[in-house]
Amino acid sequence: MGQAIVAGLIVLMAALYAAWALMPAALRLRLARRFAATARRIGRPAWLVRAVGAIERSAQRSLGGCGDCSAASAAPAPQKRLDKG
Amino acid sequence: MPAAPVALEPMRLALVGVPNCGKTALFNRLTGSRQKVANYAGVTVERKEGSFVGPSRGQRYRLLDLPGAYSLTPTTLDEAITRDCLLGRLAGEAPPERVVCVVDATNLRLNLRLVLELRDLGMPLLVALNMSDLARDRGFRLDRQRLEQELGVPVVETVAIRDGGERALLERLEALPPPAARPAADWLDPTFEQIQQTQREVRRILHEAGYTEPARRRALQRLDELVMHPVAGPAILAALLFFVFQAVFSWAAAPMALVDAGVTWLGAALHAWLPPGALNSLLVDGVIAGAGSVLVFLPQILILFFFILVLEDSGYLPRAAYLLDRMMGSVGLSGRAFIPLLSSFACAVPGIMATRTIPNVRDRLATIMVAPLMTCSARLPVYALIIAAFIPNRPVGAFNLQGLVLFTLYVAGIVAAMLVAYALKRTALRASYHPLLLELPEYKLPNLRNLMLGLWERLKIFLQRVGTIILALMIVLWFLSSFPAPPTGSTGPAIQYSFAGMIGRSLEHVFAPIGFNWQISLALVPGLAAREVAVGALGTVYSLSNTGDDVAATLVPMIAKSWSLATALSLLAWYVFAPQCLSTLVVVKRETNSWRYPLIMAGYLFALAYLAAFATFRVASALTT
Repeated sequence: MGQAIVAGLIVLMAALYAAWALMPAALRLRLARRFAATARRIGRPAWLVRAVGAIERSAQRSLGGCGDCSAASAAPAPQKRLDKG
Repeated sequence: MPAAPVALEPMRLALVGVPNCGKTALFNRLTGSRQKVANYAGVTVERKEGSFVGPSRGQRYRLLDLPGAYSLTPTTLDEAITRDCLLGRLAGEAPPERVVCVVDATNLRLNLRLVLELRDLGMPLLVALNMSDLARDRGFRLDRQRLEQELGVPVVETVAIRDGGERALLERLEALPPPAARPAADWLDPTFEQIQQTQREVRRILHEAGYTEPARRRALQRLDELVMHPVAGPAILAALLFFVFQAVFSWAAAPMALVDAGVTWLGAALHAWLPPGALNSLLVDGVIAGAGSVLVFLPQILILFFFILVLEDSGYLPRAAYLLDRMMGSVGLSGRAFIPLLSSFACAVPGIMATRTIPNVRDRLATIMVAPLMTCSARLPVYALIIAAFIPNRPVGAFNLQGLVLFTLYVAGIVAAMLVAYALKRTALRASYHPLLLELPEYKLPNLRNLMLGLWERLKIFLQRVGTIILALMIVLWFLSSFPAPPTGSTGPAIQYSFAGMIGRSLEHVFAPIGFNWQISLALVPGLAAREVAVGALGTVYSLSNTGDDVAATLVPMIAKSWSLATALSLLAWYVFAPQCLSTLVVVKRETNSWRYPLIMAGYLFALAYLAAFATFRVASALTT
């Protein structure tokens, strides 16, 4: 039973991480900002505020998947539709 | 003594020169901090203007630092701005009254074409022989006075980064006659024959001026003549790449066996140590068998990157770009597409982002569309797994058959990219050809520290991926492969009755015509996150498919036993084309700011992958039965 509980927790954390890492960067950033705003509004516990702040900063940096490689750290392209010339 | 009267109207002076000749350093030295930086009207090319007072007669100058140009025949927007400014064709910009052409004394062969073209414009011209101290130290020899006679314009030695020569330069400048007339407004781009004639004139002048290069430079030029020869060059490039792929297999054998033994030992030890149960299965079948299957390929990835870094650091890669430019031009790709496509061999994401350097929108789109066909490093574990399981490790002449197959797969990706580009450039993305213009760096011995740092960076990236997203997906896959439990009285492995088994069997209907069993079909789903995840997924799925004591057995013998050769070749063909990487599609969306292109890309690549796998499976099945 003990093994099943530990395995279940590991699976849950892995599923959450995979969903977080693979979701579109914009959605991840939106979610992170919402978490951070909620945590700051509540104001405690302090470690949660710090942790959510770190997640927000990480979401601002990370592109997810292959985008996490060092060669892919450049800023996003200017938002101009290519097919409109 | 009273100071000389200062002229009311400042003289318009322009600094011209090839990129990296020290032009901006000289501009800063002459103008100090009196600079104004803006853009040219309507374009994002930087316009830099400064002012200063001459040393002898108090003449005031307005100095314009024009963008770097190799000639007056523009291939970039920067060069077009320079030409138009000199010819007085730029709106709101009066043409200069004097021109200072800065030339790099260590690279006169490249610099003098621009000098001759400027001289032929008939504008008052002065040549600043920059980096003259460096040239002397390196063993270059030149008779400056003779060069001046041959060119027919003043030549002044300067050292832009230090105090040296600018006073003489300004004195000679003030002695120049005023411009006779407006420069040739009807100036036309030279023909190919005229350019060749100019190059001959450059060689003649340098010969007359006693220009000699140091012995090392001459030796390297002879090496370049061989390396970039139209016939020998491509042969050398092919041989080099061939050697790299051979080394990826033969050099990696021992370290891979070591990592494999470590992973197997860890799995067996954990299996024996933990009592049977869910956690035991999760760690052994999910974490060790899944993530461990990918970790085994670390030595091959490091060897591949070692060679890429050596080629880059030695100065060979731009030569390879030159050699491949003709091939890329023949299918309509811009010469500037080479660097993005080369980057795509590591990962398509930075490759697609590097297409921002391609100014033409259609050229850029064509490059983006074919970039995922370059064999990225994430494909290597998949290729290596299948090759190790199905291709015998035996010599073929001087080569190894496994290395030969890997080389063929890389070539298949390149050929596919060229064919797709050819089709695109003749239909939807038609555009004129823009030649590649690049300055070749000197050859040098690769720096060991740079190499080690580069490899360390790749090691970190790989381990980070294995330890984060790959590990997480393997754990999720273990859950899907273990639950629900098989019904009472069932005989086959439990995975067949699990969620993963159900998904795999549903997908099998789609993939059966190309020879994929349900395990492969299932592995392709998490493999969409990143290609190498499919290897880990196969590790988990096959580990859970086993019964009894063979839990710790490695993946290679398992798939060799379970698949036919036709299935293995079909999967290789699938991976040459399939866009099994969500990050690539997301970055295409971001770079084009539209879902249209990633959807088109996914559609055509999946269609090609299915067709190629189907043809391969059918032909291989017919030949092997």
